[in-house]
Amino acid sequence: MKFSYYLLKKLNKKIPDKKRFIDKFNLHAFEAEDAKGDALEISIPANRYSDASSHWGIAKVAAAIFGGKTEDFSSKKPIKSAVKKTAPEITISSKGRCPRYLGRYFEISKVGQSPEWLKNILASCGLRPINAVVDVMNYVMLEVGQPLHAFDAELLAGSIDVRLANKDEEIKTIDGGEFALINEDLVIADDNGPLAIAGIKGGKRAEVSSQTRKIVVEAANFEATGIYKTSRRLNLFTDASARFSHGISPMLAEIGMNRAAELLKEVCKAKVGDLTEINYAKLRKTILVFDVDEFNQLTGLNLDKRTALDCLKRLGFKIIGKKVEAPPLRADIFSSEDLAEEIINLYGYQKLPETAPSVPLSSSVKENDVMLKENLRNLLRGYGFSELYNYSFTSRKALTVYGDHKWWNAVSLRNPISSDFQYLRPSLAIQILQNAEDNLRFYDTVRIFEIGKVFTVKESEVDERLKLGLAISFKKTGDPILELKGIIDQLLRDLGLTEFFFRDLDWDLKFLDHGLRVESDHHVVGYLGVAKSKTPTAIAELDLRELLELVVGEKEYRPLPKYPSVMRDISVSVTSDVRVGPIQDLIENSSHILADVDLVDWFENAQHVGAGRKSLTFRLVFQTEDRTLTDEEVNKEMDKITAALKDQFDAEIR
Amino acid sequence: MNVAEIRKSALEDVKKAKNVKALEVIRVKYLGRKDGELTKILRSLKDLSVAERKEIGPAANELRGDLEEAFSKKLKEFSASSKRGVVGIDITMPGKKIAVGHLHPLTIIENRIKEIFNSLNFSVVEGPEAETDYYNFDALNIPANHPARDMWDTFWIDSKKLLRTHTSPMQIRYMEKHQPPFQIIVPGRVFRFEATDASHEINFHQVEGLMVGERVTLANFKYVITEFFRQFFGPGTHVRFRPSYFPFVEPGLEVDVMLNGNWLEVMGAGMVHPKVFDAVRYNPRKIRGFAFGMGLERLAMIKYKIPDIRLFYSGDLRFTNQF
Repeated sequence: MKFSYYLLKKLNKKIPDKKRFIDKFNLHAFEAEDAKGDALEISIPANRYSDASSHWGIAKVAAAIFGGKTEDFSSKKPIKSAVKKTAPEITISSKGRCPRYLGRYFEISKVGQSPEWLKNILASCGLRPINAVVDVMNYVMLEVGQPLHAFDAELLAGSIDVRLANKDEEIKTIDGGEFALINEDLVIADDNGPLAIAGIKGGKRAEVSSQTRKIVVEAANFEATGIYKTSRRLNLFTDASARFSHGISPMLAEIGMNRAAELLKEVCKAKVGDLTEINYAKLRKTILVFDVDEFNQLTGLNLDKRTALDCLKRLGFKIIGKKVEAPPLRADIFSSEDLAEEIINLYGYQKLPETAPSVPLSSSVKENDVMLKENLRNLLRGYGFSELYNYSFTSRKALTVYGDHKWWNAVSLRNPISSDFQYLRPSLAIQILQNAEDNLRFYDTVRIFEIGKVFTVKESEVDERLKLGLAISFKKTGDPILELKGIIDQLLRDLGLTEFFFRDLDWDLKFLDHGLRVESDHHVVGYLGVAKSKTPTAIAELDLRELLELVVGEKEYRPLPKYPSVMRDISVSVTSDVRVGPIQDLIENSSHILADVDLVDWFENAQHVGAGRKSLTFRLVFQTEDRTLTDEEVNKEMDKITAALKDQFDAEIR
Repeated sequence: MNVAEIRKSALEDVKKAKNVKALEVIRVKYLGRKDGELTKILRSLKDLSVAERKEIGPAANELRGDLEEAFSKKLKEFSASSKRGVVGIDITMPGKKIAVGHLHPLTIIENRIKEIFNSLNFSVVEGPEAETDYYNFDALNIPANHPARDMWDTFWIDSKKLLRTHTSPMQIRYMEKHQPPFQIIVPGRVFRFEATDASHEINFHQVEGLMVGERVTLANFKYVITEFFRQFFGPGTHVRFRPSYFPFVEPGLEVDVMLNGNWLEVMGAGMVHPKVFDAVRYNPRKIRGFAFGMGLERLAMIKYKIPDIRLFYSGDLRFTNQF
């Protein structure tokens, strides 16, 4: 909110130069900064609009910090009426929404321009001077915090009523806006319809102009949430609506009206007429017990009672024995914590000691998923993968790349910031594949990963899951899928998993040419596969929640082998359509003295193995724990294996 | 040169030889079939008197044997060292590039924060990103239809469900399930419905902190946070505390650190509001606590001098690989 330094200084002479004022105000009250020239920008906390959204309010806070006396607008006596029988006719049909309404009649011989000093203050606060009457209304709001409105009394038809808008009622506002109202919006109306959107904006119909000679000034109080809702719905935010939506004291209405009368008389030479007031507001005093021990327990300070109470006194609190009474305009004081804040702010955080907590020692832990994420990141970094972060949002266009966007079951936002960010990402794959493609402009090989949340709609609920996505992509040729498979294999081992399998994918992933699912203990942990990309790209995604349930296994020492191992290579040729996985499975399960099997070479070459065939070379390692194996023994096993291979895969042994 | 002179200079030369080629030059110089210094002497023996021959002959022959041995020894040395890769390779050539991965700077910053708070006995927990309005607002004393809610522009999934606008909902979730005393931090991704620019993003990361117990004070908060920032930015770091407003704390404050002569806002904080304790059925007269929240991106931008928040989400390896 913008303020005029000149006006603040006028209200409290003890306010120091602008720079010192800003420095100290920041440390003891609200965030403030220089806004060039006479202007200051001060952030009013959402709970301080009632007492501090005015120069008067800021000057009072400043007085607590810098000393000095601030003019007291609340003690001003109302000016007596000089034009008899002019009281405006006012009713409040919607009592709940309007606790207090003051209307006063004034006569003006000429609506001219405001004096320079007034115009300057308006300008510092970002308001445009209009004419003397409107400027006085605005000025009083800036000075004491009560929004006011002036109607041209000769344009009013009948009496003023504060009521809810009728269905389909419309209003033209003074700035040329046109709004359709609903039955929840509060309006100020006369017999001909709405004159103003209550607490937000005045209407065109009874606008004060240079022809205006008679006015009715409104100083009212409106219930906060109602104003807030209408203001939001109409997307109409004004200086008045800001104050009313935060909730301000009904006391301000009277203070504002008195000040307006004074200024209209002084600036516009107005004749002051009669006042009509309707007041349903119950003003309650806030009286709290102040216990300095409690204060010290909360803050860790060790103030004596006198020092603490002195802070409150400087802020305008009344001390009544053991109790304190909050200043009447303060709407934010309810508890001892609120009092503590007042005292510590004024006393100063720089004087607060730094005290090490003394609490029972308990071990600090990291949740399992936090640990898992840390492990994964460190492992992948070690394997040469770099980490990227992507948006949690994605577009319909991105979801459509591999088919119908509905296939993803993505969560759609009610209020997306743009169509590029309409959906929550249902998978990490979409963005990671894009990252791979983008980065190949600068690198020949890309190894990337991301850990993050993905969202899908499941049984009309949002299903949020933590995933690891990773990809390898080559600029030119190559086959990254086996490298990625090796990475996943090693990753799962490093996490402590011992039993896991790669099986054919039994569900359709539209962005894959072909893929495998990763399975352990009957849980599907994730998938990996060859992506439908322009360049050779392999991608995998693992579900961390599934992984967490599996990650087990302490390492246990096994005695080093006492007896030598025997190594045999076997080359077979099979038709090209036979897959390596089942062959390796068969070999692995065919001998109990077989310790390890590895595919060490493979090729497809018509000249060497004949058309439509491929050659595979496996390295077999035989070993037992209780004896040295003889050639004979191993030969027997090899015969068994070759026989099985011939039988099951029609393999030729080469 | 006489035999003694040849012995001295030849052995000296062999010792100094730098490589196989140089050694061959030396060999030719002394033992070369045509003009080798020792060869010349040996060849001249037949022209000498018997007495001279008896004197020089054995010495020259002995020297020949010694030199041959020295040459072959040196040669072996060279071949051994070339196997070790010392000679024959210019070690001023650049080292082989190791294919390493890089962690995202936000991960690095988050890890550092976790490490410091772990050392201060804080545990690390996380919470959901899709939240309800109850946890994100109501339970934190941010009522519906109050402009205070405008401090957090929100992405809505439906009328109740939203993308959390801060990590603070985890205060409620954690307190619902645990009894004090405890101290936790909650790192995580949060979302704001706002236009993006160099310092604003629609998703970013926060670390929430919460310490609750019977005797937790604001002075404890000042200690913990000052300690944190001194470990994070360096021992001499100046930390400043000043009043602020958040509906879920009372008193509320903001923390600034001084870097390069400027105060930079880095944290919002305060003592947990009694209404928040009410929401989780703690007794606000018995239990106190402090809470704080800071933005990871902001800390990373300050620490690494990154000018634009959008770089974190660019998916560009040229960015990540710098860290």
